Amino acid sequence: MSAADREKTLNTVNAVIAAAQESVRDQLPDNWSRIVSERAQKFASAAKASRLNVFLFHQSVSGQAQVVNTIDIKGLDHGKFDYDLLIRRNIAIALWSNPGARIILVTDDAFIPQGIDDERVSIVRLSLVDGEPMFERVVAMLAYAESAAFTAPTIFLDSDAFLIRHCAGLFANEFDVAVTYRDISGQMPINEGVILVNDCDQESVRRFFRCYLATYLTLEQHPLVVETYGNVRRWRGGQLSINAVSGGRQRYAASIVAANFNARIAYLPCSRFNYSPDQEGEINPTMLARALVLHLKGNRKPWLDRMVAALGSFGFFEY
Amino acid sequence: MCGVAGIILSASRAPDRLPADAIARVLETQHHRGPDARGLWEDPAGNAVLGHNRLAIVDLTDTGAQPMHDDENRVVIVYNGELYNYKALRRYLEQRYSVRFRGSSDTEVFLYGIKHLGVDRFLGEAEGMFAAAVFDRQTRKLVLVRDRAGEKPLCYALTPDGLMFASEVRALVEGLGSTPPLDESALYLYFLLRYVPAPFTMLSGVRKVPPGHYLIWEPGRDPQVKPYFSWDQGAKEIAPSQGNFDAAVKKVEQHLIESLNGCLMSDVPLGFFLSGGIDSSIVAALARRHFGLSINTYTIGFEGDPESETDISEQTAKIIGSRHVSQTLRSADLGPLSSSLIETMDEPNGDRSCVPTFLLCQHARSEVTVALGGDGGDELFGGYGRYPGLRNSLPEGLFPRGRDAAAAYFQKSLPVYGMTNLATAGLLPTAEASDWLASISTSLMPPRNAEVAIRYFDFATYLPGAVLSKVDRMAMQVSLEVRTPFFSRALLNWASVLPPEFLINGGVLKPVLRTLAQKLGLQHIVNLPKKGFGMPGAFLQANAAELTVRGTAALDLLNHHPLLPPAMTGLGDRLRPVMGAHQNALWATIVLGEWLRALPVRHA
Repeated sequence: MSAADREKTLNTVNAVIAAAQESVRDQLPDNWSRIVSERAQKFASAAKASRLNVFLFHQSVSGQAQVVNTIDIKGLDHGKFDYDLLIRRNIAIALWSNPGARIILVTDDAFIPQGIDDERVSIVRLSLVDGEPMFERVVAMLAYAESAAFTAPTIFLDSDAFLIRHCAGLFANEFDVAVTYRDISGQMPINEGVILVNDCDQESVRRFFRCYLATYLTLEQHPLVVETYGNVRRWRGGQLSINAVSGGRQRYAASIVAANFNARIAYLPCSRFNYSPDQEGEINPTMLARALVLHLKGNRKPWLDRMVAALGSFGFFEY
Repeated sequence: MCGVAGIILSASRAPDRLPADAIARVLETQHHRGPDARGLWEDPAGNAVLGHNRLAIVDLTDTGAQPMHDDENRVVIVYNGELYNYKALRRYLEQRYSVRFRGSSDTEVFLYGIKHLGVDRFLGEAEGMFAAAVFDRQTRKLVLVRDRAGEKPLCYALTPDGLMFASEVRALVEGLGSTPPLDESALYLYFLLRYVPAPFTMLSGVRKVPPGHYLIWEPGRDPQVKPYFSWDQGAKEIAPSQGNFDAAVKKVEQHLIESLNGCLMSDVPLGFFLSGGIDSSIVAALARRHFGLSINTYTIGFEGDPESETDISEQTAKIIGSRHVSQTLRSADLGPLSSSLIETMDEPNGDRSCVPTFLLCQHARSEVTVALGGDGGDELFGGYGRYPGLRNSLPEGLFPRGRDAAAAYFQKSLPVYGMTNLATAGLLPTAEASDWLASISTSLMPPRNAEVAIRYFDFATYLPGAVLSKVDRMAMQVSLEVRTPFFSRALLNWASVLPPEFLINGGVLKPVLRTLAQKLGLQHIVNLPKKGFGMPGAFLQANAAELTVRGTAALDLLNHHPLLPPAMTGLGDRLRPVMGAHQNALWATIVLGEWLRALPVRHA
């Protein structure tokens, strides 16, 4: 990418985050409150005692909708990846690193994951609107936070974000919501692939997610957002919304900040809490020892086998 | 170096009713920061007064005078610092935005940089140490900015009239016209740390802009304080191979040379501090070798002090070929000097190296106006003796909460009173102090390698709070500007990718810098242990009785001082049983008491 292209990308991303910030809302429309409330009921079967809940979301996406081609993400085709394998391994790794955890896999009726046979896994099936995975995920996260299944500190993970370290101790720290940030030119600073929430003040967490969804519903109508990303219910809308509600396009520092909606937000560097290697060779035991989550974003997913092999040196093996 | 001051009013006034006298008082109080000139600007629209104390370093002509306006007379700046890459930024602004500069100062580049690039982008590009206030007359928006590491100070207070700011806390108080009470959170943190960390100051309602942050304020709104830099920014560590180690040494050398190129800019005489340590020796050696400069180096020592490094620094000077000026002082003079110095401190700083630092600055100032040192090397490259073994003493399992790990670190590695003793004295962290501790401790939250993470923690706390504030205030007492090349973006970025093996190698501290020292021919210092720059142990032992008397006097004062918040009544008596816990506690108490005794108490 040329310097001019980089600057253009940077300016566009900054402008679109600023537009998203204009859309920040903390009140959810009544009709959406009802929808969320109905979906929260679906989590009843997952309401079990746990030390840590791991929330995974997967929705089958068909045809052209699988392709992401935006100004900040070029040529990503989700159709190339085996999500069944990703999720199976994601669950296995999370239960290996955090044996006391409960996995809550939220998905649609179409997705039939293979090889998941563990009483610590609860599958919650929702009627999801086709072609709107990112939007449905945010709705599902709020529905979970408002449900009886929110029994423990929770980590929300992308299906390609692997929880490789025991993390119960992390939740002894004083935050309600923790997001991960990076300082990479042309990329949104907050990454939605890893979100942690504590359970000591659940109402603060719910306020955060209501704001998250309310902002999503507003920004999807913003002309600049539509011009830049098109249908953000498909891709990018969740990322944009969390950047807007977490502070916008500013740079971040490792800290805990009381946000407008009375939640304490911890800002944690991606290098430790949401590590995404630049090269496959970076995936080695030394590196893995320093990260909470290894995130094989985008076209990194084929590096999965190398990650599993590296985790082997810590005692992980697949049944 | 310089001083900045100003007030932005909440509501416009007639120009002849502007509080110029208040800002003039601020400038008078911080005169030592810039004795070469003084400037005061009164907004004809009646919205602001800005002031400046000037220590002329670059562009000694009137075109460098401040407060400075842009060509549209819309944006006004007062600025304290050095923008090391101002020439490159100037060229960019000329080419990209057709800026026509009137003079050759870095202040003008800072002004137009903020104007055209915006605050975030400009600060992302800026290299240097600075604190500045930029006022947009059209929007009435004020931006206060502070450099990444916190080398230059900047404090502010919201008043019924508006927002007032200054370089120094005591100067700001002169502008406010009355002395605020002591801040309860700051007092607690001072007894824990022996300095007052940003955003607190010892005085209630007066705040510091934190390092790497800027503040935006518009009349009628709350100030917004935002970060633009965090050293713990998400860098990925390189693999700990021998090849990478060699590359790391080379990279560090290269980045130090690049940084020095900027730090050496000056239109006035410039010298180098030279202790017996690794960091300052490398800085001086690189300046001599790569820039071919004839350089002056300065060191001090104390009579009969076995820890004195004067012999080592003389040897270093011979090897690098500097003109070296060493001064030997009498330990007996430290007592009276420390008392008079504490009384002039801007804020209490219980670091015991304040007095020697002042003496070193005074010594260098007899010949030069600017001195380069090696501050930051220990934080960036793992140079403190307290770092090895932290993985064992702060294990994640035992201290999952970052703030508990921080408390244990303070207690074991940087002991002052310690949280336990403070609790015994009935002192518990305020909600604000508690939030601060939790917030700055995110570096120590699991997963962590304590020996890596502690550098980020120290960079955000100890370095700006104890070290850099000490250097700035002591140097400013004698109008000396002190620079360090260790805070360039490139060097910070590079230091953050070093794996633990390159920071502490089998108990050897900062092996990267030691190897670089060896490469530069400084073999005689490569294997020396780190020494502090505190007051000689002999002085402390010989004057133990006197120090106890001073400590007792400080405690007495802390029982009834009129600025004490009500919750701190009888503070001295509460601290008395635990003050002997550590020598640092005694000294910190003396400093606070004597500082407080000298603080003018004015009521509105």
